[in-house]
Amino acid sequence: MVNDLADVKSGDIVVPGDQLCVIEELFPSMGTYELDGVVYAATAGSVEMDLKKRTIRVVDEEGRMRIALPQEGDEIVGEATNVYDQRAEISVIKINGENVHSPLVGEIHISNVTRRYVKSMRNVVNQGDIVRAHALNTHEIPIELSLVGKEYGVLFSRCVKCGYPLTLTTRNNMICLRCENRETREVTEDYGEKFGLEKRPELAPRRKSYDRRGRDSRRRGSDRRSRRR
Amino acid sequence: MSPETKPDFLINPEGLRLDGRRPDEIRPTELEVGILKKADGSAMIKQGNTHILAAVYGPRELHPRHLTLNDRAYLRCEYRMATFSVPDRKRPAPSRREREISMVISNALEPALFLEEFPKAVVDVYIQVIQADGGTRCASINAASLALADAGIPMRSLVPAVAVGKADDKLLVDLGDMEDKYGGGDIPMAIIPRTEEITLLQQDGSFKKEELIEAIRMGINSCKYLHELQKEALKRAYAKRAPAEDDEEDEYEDDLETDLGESDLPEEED
Repeated sequence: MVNDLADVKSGDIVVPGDQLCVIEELFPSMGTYELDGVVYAATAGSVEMDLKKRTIRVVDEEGRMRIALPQEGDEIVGEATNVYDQRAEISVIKINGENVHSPLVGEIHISNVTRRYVKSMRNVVNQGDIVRAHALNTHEIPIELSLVGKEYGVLFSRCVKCGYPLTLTTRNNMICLRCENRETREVTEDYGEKFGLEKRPELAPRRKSYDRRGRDSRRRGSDRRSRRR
Repeated sequence: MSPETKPDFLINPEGLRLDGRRPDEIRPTELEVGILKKADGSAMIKQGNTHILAAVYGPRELHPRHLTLNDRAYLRCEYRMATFSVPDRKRPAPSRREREISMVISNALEPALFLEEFPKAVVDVYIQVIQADGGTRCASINAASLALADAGIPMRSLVPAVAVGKADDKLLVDLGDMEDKYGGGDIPMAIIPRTEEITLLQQDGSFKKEELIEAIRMGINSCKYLHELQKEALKRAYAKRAPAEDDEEDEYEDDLETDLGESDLPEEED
């Protein structure tokens, strides 16, 4: 019987030190600890039992662990404070839309920017950029962040030459409307929308045509010329 | 010093104390959790005329970096008395006494916490004494332990604390300011209730061996009572944060009542 299983039932409010069950019944997980074969609560909250995995945990009213650190999958908004070739440091401003008052750092490794190849971190994020990312580890300092995904990336960025806000042209190409400097960033799908920066696709950099035939004919032409000689 | 006279007796002929308590009775204690919005965890304690606020921040990055511990978080307690907390203005600079009490509080709380889950981080505990009337270090431990629980720092147990003292050769629990000043000594103590492990034991004044043992026994009893109060306060705070479940039940009951009303109506017409 489920009711005979443990000393508590799902939804019970417990405080640290309350006895939950014995280790043979359920495994301790988040917010609990085990001592001499007995599982106790380590935090205050309500009990949640997973009878499939046979685990017991203590969570708060939102089903999370009540602690001031993000857990895996949390959405984080922050400012890039330092950018190196392989990684970038982010100072966290918001976790899941709520302001963070304590100083907290996260870092992005170059492998967690996109699924494509990135030559240098400086091509995708720059110092002072506001980025939206998600956490890859739970309750750890520093937080490992990732920009993989449509809704993650740079939210707002400034021109490295003149400091004017950059405008998005197409994809990840940016242009500064004051000094016409062109840059690249790994942006979110809503880049600059909160800052009143509209997308300007007509300013996209002109691509050289990669028309194979044209190139081939030119080469052939030169070949012919050389043969004639 | 403000005019304050030594009372004629600390225990009156009826065996009651200055404020009418029995020797083994603690002062009326009020605990509240989660009173500061910006802190990660907070608590307030009113123990008689002693009012204390405790706020917890973290786990967060530790600055200065050289203080970091590689195997666990650093517990940084700061006990401060407000300038207006005592009859004479307390000078705001941290005194030798405050530094010592800060250290004592962090040592009393540390054995109960799982700090090894957050290496290189810091857990800051700020304790502000708003009004002091004896027993501030024990009340601070009570409040700080609740604030840590509110911040979600994993812990073995809450830590209740109480001071046992001696006046007119009688042992008293939870000393007030007068009893502390004019009594024969005091023993502040903090315990982990389930195992009765003692995490804080200090002594001021002189006690006989039997007195000390009896004092500890009395202290443990009072601590267990305080522990119940702490648990209650934490549960109250949780119920306050999550009233959603009750609302659902209410709605359900309302629906039931309206159904009954509708079914009743045709019957009346008949």
